[in-house]
Amino acid sequence: MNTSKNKNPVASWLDYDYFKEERKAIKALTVILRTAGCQWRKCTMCGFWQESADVTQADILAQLDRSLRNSPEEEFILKIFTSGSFLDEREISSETRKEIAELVRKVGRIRKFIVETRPEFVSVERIADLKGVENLELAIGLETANDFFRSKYIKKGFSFDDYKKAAEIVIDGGATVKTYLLLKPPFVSEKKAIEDVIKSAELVSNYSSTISLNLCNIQKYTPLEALWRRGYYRPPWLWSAVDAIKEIKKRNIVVMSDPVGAGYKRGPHNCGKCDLEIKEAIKKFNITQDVRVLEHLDENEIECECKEVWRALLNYDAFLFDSILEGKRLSREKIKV
Amino acid sequence: MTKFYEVRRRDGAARIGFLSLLGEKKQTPLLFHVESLSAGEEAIKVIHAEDSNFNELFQEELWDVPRGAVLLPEVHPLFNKVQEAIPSLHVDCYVLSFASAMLNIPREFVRRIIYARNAIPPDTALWVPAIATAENAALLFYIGADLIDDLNAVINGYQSIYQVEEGAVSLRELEELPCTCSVCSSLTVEELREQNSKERVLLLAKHNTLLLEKEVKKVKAHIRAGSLREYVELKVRSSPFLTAVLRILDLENEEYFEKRTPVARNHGMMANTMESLKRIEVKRFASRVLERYEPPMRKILLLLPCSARKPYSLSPSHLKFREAIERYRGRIHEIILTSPLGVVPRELEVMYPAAFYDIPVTGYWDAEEREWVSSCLRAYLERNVRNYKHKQIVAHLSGTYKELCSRTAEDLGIDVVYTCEEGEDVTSKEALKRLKERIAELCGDTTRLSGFEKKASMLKAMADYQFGIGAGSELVSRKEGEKIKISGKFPAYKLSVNGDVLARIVPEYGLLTLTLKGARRIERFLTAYTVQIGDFLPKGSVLAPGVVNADEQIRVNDEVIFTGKMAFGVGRAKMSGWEMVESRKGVAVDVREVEEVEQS
Repeated sequence: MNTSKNKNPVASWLDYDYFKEERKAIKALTVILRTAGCQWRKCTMCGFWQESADVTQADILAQLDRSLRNSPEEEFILKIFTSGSFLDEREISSETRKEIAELVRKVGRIRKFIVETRPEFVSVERIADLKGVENLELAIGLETANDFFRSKYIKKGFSFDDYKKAAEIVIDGGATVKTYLLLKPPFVSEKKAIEDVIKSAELVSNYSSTISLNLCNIQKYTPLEALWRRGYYRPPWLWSAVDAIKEIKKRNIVVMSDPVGAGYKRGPHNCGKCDLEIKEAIKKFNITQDVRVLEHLDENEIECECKEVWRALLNYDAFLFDSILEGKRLSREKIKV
Repeated sequence: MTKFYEVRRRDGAARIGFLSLLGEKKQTPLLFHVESLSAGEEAIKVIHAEDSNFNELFQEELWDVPRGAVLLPEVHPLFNKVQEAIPSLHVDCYVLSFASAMLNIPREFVRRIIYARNAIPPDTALWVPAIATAENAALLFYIGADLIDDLNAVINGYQSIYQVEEGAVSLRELEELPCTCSVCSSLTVEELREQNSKERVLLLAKHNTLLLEKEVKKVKAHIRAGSLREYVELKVRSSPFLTAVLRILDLENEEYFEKRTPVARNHGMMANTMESLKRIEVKRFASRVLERYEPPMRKILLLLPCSARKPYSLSPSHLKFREAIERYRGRIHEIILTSPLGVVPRELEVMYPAAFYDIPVTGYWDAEEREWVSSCLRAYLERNVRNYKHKQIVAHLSGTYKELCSRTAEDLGIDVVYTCEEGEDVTSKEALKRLKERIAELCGDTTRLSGFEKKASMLKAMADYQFGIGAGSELVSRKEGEKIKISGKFPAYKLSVNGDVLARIVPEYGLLTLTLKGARRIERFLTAYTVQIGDFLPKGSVLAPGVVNADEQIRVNDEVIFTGKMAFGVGRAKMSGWEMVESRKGVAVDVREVEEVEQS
């Protein structure tokens, strides 16, 4: 057993996040705890469980302790992810959860505490473990409200109903729900993916206070990676992300999206020329929730040639039959790797 | 099962068919325009297994326009659902999804299309969407696609990609528009670049589409002529990827093409490339010479070189050989050594493709060609020399022919008499004189071959080649009380018995055709060429739904008989036997002669 590894979190970093409750951006500390990892491990696109290890509950507390040393001086949001479910006893015991809640209360400056879990672990008791924490938010990776996509293409293993039930428990327990939606599951075309994510946002808006749009990227050693390598998948265009975010925002829903891997082959990308600018605009939107920064992309004519390509592909989506037409030349163009 | 699609002609895996769109019959290979597709002008309905109305495809109701099902790759979670549904679907076409994924690896390109074609009924159309270019279209149709579209051509317009017959270039790189289409002849490359972006995209897309349209027309002309293979060999040169695809098709998918390649064509066969050696026609000829040809029992086996003119007998060189050996021909079995066919027995020189091939003659043979021809000769000698009592082998060969022969004979430990000296031309006076003298020495007394014997041996060999050993001698051997006559000018011979014509050689196709009487005569040898039909009397043609059973080995242009409770007839197969059985539409057999069968 590598004890030093087990006493360190997978990662932790500091950045800004939109603090919905006060409608402003504040600092956010994200901590990825190394735990026994997700028990499900079947989702097509997910490789996070590979970060799991045989850790003790004491290790977990040690990891958090180390991470909190980077806490900002001012008020901040604390986000803890486990590459699994924070409410799963096999990852984090009830005792540990209570200790963590205690720790969060003791720090004092933590205005909001966000943890992630699959819906099957949500229960009144487990939420009670975290009582007394200010602005508790449970994040659930629903990915899509479409049960068919979720079960067949994502292999998520729970239904929209499961999600709704869990969300109700969370809300009854005095916490809020953050819903992760996946832009472009495998086997879903670009156009259908945009439509799906907008429709899903509408359907979950009654349950969730925030939507986090996950722009699908290719993680190592996942089924999705195998599909991608054989040319059966392309991560979404950043133009699709912009489009989806604007549409969701139009419906008065708080939405954000961490453009992980934007501009890279494995991440959401356009042609390689305009990617960086769009990524920055999305990040700016996340903390301001000001849709003008996205509209600006059109008006200000970043208007990369590739936007017309993207638009044409959407226009003819029904006749692509899932082909990916990047054009020989475009695929050789520099997309940062 | 199809309703709005019908295949009319075949050349290998490629077909010409008709798709009825809004009452208008459109010929396939067909190019769909995405603009009209998305405007709904092309009334065609394609349903995906994930769509809620997929079940409609199991029913015949609502089938009022051509419709299709999406074929999914094995990696797709609904792959099995579609695979299992195929036998029960009422559709006219299947659409290959994720087509672009096969553009990464040549083997995938081959595998995906062939897998699709094998999975779906032969009478349905295959649509390979979104990836067609003027460069790859011929190959797509060659492997078995029937429908393509201009989506890639249009998207390339947006991407500033200018397609040419042999690929694509960036508009930026062009100094001149290398095309005469309506777009390119109306403006210069500078003018095209200076258009506003919307206009430029439309013009580029139009050029790309026109180019693709032209390519589809060319392919159709080649399918009709029976020359698609030659055209594909030419087209694939534009890229290593496409060349690799053709080589993989030849090396690893022989069965797929063997099942679809016609036995004869009325078109020359050009063997211009290294891939030509691997053609089905070449392999099939070589194997039939071994399996369906019985050499005459003669003392001398004479090896001769091929000639440019076909049939060889009509060439100046062969006329000279003939003159040298004429008096002893009754003792001589002649075979012709050639590339790429290997060994052509004299009796089969009129057969397709022996009388139809052409090769570039330079005197240089590459290693693969040598290897192939040697292996054909070796197999022939091993199989036949002892069995058919050829006591002496004479080779009137020079250069590489001689070299191949002597190496093969040495390997086999067979003695060969050579009648050409080193560097001597086979038609030189000295060589011909030597041939004549050696033959005379070896044969002793003269034994001419009568005109009838010569002609009969041809008809016999051709019948055996077409139908299997046994058919030939049954056809030409005289039975008691019969008067057999073979008339006509070489090679258009006609065999008749007591005044009734039994069979004819059709030099235009390199085939033997049978009359009803001829078919009756050799009926017991035609089991492999029999089509069982339902209880009806066909007139012009036997349609696929009327076929009850047909032998697997029947190929397009094969001479076949058809029998049913009400009819017996003879005709030419228009589709392969397996296809007759699996199809619900299309002409199976063109009837030449039919008679009503007495009901017992």
